[in-house]
Amino acid sequence: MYPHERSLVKKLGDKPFALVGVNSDDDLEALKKVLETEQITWRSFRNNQEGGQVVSKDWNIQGWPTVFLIDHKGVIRQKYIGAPEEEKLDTAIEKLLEAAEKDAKPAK
Amino acid sequence: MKWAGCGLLVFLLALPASWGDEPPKDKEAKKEPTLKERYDALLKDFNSQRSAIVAEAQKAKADEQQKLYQKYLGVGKEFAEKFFKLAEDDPKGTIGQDSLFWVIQNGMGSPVFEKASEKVNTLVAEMPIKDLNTRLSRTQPNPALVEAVLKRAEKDEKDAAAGDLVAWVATRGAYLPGGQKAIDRLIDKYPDHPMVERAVASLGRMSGPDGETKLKAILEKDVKPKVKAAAALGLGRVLAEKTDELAEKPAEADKVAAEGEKYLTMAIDLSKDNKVAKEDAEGVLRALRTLRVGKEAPDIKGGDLDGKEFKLSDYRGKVVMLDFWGNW
Repeated sequence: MYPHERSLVKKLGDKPFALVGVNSDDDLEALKKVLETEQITWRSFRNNQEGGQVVSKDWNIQGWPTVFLIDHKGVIRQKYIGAPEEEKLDTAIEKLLEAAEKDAKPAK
Repeated sequence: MKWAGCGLLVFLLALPASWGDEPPKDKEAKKEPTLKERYDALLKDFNSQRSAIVAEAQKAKADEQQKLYQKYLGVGKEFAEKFFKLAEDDPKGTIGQDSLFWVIQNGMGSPVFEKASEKVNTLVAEMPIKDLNTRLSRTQPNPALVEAVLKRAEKDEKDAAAGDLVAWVATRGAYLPGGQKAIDRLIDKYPDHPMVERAVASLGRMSGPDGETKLKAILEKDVKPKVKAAAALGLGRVLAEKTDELAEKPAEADKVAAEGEKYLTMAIDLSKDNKVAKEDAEGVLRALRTLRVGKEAPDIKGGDLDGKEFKLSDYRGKVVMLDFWGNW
């Protein structure tokens, strides 16, 4: 999924879009190397937070990857279990971006 | 006991003498290997050849991987004939049976595969059910084997152990064509079998409307509370998933969600004595109420990979793609 995610981040750089991860890896050292080689520039929460909070448990995640699309108002608009089809994902993001940009324009 | 003790003593006294003796060792080496030794040697050889290919594949480039994968499969084909020969040398014994089962597990595509498969079918039809169950517990299902096992279970329907045969197919081979039939049969004929709940739960993980229809049918039946609980939880899962596919039709999504909540509440009520099942159902219900499409995303506050704190709500005003990921 990295190549498509990289291209989304690049393509939508000047749009109101953000890719945010929740990462479940245990080996942080190994992961940092992957971030470098795969050019993963977007930010991720650690899944296992200090104090015992587990984000994937709060979100009842049953399979990895699971991807949510959240609109500019903070409402969940899509949920994909397993890697989403690129075309479907792109179309859904485009649609949400249109709505976000429309709302961002000052009312006449 | 007295005789056994004497035997051991004689054995111990004899040991040093034979250790010091070189020639008898040579004689032993020339002795024909036993069937068991031949089987173990073949298996060891096979495993080491495969490991070598795996090691090679880990270093190979992407375009060579496919070739190595074919080579990996080829080892199974090559050894299938050796194992089949061993089976022919031991037509009635357990080593022969081990060898035949080995061929149908690893020798797909080999010229002896069909012959081995036929022999296995005969074994499945005739060997004592108890032995068959033991053997199946360490065997991976495949379509032909599943069919033979189900046929045997039908023939010996009255035997309590036939339920174990059906359960093996229902749980291990749920994804195969005969798997669905086995799940239905297990629920119908052996409703008290310990694997029934697991079989029912697997219906809740099926995609498409099939799972929903079957689970509703189970709830109509007079089944034990724990089976009912598993069916209700399965239905809750199916319906929760359905709401996420109705992103464009909010009114319909709400209706499906309400139905899902009903079944999940039922599952929680029926699972008072089963902590794991209860927590499972509660998790799905909570997600259906707060995390489904159309609901406001709960905030996430926490550290990033460098330990710096941030919040999901920092991105309000932007479209966020939230990816639960891991590098595996």
